[in-house]
Formats: sequence, structure tokens, C-alpha cells
Amino acid sequence: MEGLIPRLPGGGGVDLLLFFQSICSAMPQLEELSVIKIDTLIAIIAAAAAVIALLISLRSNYLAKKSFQLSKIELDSKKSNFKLYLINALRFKSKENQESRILMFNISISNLSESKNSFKALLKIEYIRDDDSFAKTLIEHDHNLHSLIPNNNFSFFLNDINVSEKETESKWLLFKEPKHFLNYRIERYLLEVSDINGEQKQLESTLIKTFQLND
Amino acid sequence: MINLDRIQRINWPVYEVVSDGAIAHPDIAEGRVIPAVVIDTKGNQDVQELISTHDDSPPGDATYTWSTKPFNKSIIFLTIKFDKPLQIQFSITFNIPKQSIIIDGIIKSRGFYLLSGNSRSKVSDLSIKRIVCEVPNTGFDQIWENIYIKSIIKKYQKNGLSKKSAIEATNKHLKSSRQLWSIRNNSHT
Repeated sequence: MEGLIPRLPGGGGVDLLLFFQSICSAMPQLEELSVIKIDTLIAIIAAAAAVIALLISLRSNYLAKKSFQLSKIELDSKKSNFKLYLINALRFKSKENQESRILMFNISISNLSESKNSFKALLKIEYIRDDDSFAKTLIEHDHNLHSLIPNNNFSFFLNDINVSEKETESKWLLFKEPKHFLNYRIERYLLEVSDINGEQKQLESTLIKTFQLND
Repeated sequence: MINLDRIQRINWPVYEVVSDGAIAHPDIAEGRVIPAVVIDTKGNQDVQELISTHDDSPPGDATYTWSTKPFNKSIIFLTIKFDKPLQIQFSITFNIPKQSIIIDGIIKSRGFYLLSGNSRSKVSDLSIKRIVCEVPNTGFDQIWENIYIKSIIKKYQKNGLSKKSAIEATNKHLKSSRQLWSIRNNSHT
């Protein structure tokens, strides 16, 4: 009994013991009560420990969930995510060679991902032949065509387009328009940009401005 | 605060741009690329006569005024008033979301080719007569720069870019789109 009662510094514990003993001698039934109190105290401590353990486990569960969500966000941010924006579309014609026509698209590629990405650009032309039959053709962006545009200071995308994480690149794409298209009616131009993960985005253009160098 | 003195009711013909392009001629504007604008004058003989009289040359004395609609910054008007040889006044409307490249080209090139035709008219069709309009800086350059930059930033923000990234993207956008207007056609030299 004595060992369970805390001793206060300076002999305070002894005073407390004497105080309890005097109360117990005065009221014998209190001795029984004090025994029950110790059992209850142990039970309360055990219950409190159980509650604390529960709280700790809830907290660790919450932290684990949060860490999972953060990992998921991080993983998602590294996945392919890009946006395209068509700034201008031109058909370059030089007077000396009217049959040689280059389609120029000024576009922006915004890489919204947390990791850098590589892209390829294709132009899909949908056209109608003289006999009203519908056809499609695919042309790859060709950086080497830049030499056919005289005195230019355009910035052209390379054939393999690389865009750093969270960056936007605005440059020009070049496509050689096949000669037999001169007499066909073009329905629409679809610019397809796909990344190394196979993610694909399209831009549509029905109107292309003529850009001509006259003599 | 809107300055009411600067609000004017348009009581002259207004034409929309139905087709456009760009031309670089070694004898005009030192070979710079100049935007070409096709307007549908719907049979207005004054404009057609003006164009056919001055085919491929500057059309005498003219004043140019850029203006916007009150409370609507998506439409821009270019009002042209010719004094000689014909006295005519008309406006061309430009839709900023769709035609900002042409407005920017006119401002950067300080001029444009004006053609009369329809939506099927091609700038490269040399049979269509045209005049060269020289548009001086009337104090609109800086106003346009602010309107243009804000409209591009808004587009990039809609595409999911943060404001900081949208501003950086806008700078690259302007740099690449304006490369067209810095080309020179020096085929005579």
C-alpha cells in the first residue's frame, strides 16, 4: 500500500500516508473502496493504453494513406501529359517553283509532366479526288526542308522533338505537300503529335494561309 | 474609366476579313513579309475602284485609326479614310481570338495588302488586284501588345499552365510567331 502512494519531495509522501491511514481508521469501509480504486485505476490505465494504441494505429493509417496519395500524385505527374496549340499555318510557295509547296505549322507543345518527353509529328491530309473519292495521306515532319525557304530565321523543330519537364516549346513544323495535291480539294489538315509513351494529340486546321515570295 | 470623347459611332461600311495570307515582294517594304487581307466588299464599287486604280502601289493619302468596341476587347477595327483620289472611308473588323496573327503582322510590318474578294479568294492568285496600305504607328502599338499578350497568357492558362509558365510560354510563342514578319525577299540582289 505504502509503495503505491507517491512520495512527495521533502517527506510529503509520509504526510499523505498518515492522512490516508487516519481516514481509513475513521471509516473502515473506505479501505475496501481504496482497493477497488486501485483495480479500477489499473483498468483505466489499460483502457487508456488501448485508446492510445488505437489512436497511434489510426494516425499511422492516416499517414500511410497520405503517403500513398502523394506517391500516386507523383506517379501521375510523371505520366505523359502534354497540350498542343496551333499558332499559325502557312503554305509556302515560291514563284519560281509553284509546284513545290511546303506546309508550315507554327505550334506550341506544353509538356505538363514532371519528366521530359520526346515527340514525333505527322500531318494527315484528308482530300477529295477528281472522281469525288475520299482519301487520306500521312506526311512526316522533315526538318531538312528548311533549306528550301530562303532568307529565313524561323526556329524549326528537329525531327525528334524533345521538351523538358514543365516546359513549352513554340517552333515550326515542315511538311512537303505532294505535287499531285495541286488539283485536289483538301478537306482538312490533321496535325498528329505523339510522344514516346504512345500518347497522341491532334490539331485540326481547315484554313492555311498562303505565304509567297514574289519576284 | 471610359473617355466618352473617344467613343465614335461607326456610320460607314464595315467589312470582315474573309481570307488572308502573306506576301514578300523585293520592291515593297524592303522585301519584308507583309500580311494580305481579303475583304468582301459585297459589291461596293468605291472600294473595288480604289483597289483597281492603285493596283500594287500605295493609294495616296490615307489615315488609319485602330479602335476597339467599348466593353468588348475581342473585336478590333481598323478604319481607313482615303482622301485622294477617291474620298472613301470604311472599317475592317478583326476577331482577336481568330485573327490576332494578322493584326500583329500589320503592326509589325507597318502595312498590309488589301484585296477585294470572297472566302475562296487566294492571296496567291495574281489576277486579284491589290493595294498596299502603309499603316503608321498611331500610338496603338503598346495597346495592342498588352491586348495580345494577355490573350495568349489566358490561352496557355486554359491549357493547364501556371501563370508563371504561361508567361514563359507566351514569350516563346511571340518569338516564333513573329519570325514570319522578319523574313526578307531580296531576290533582286
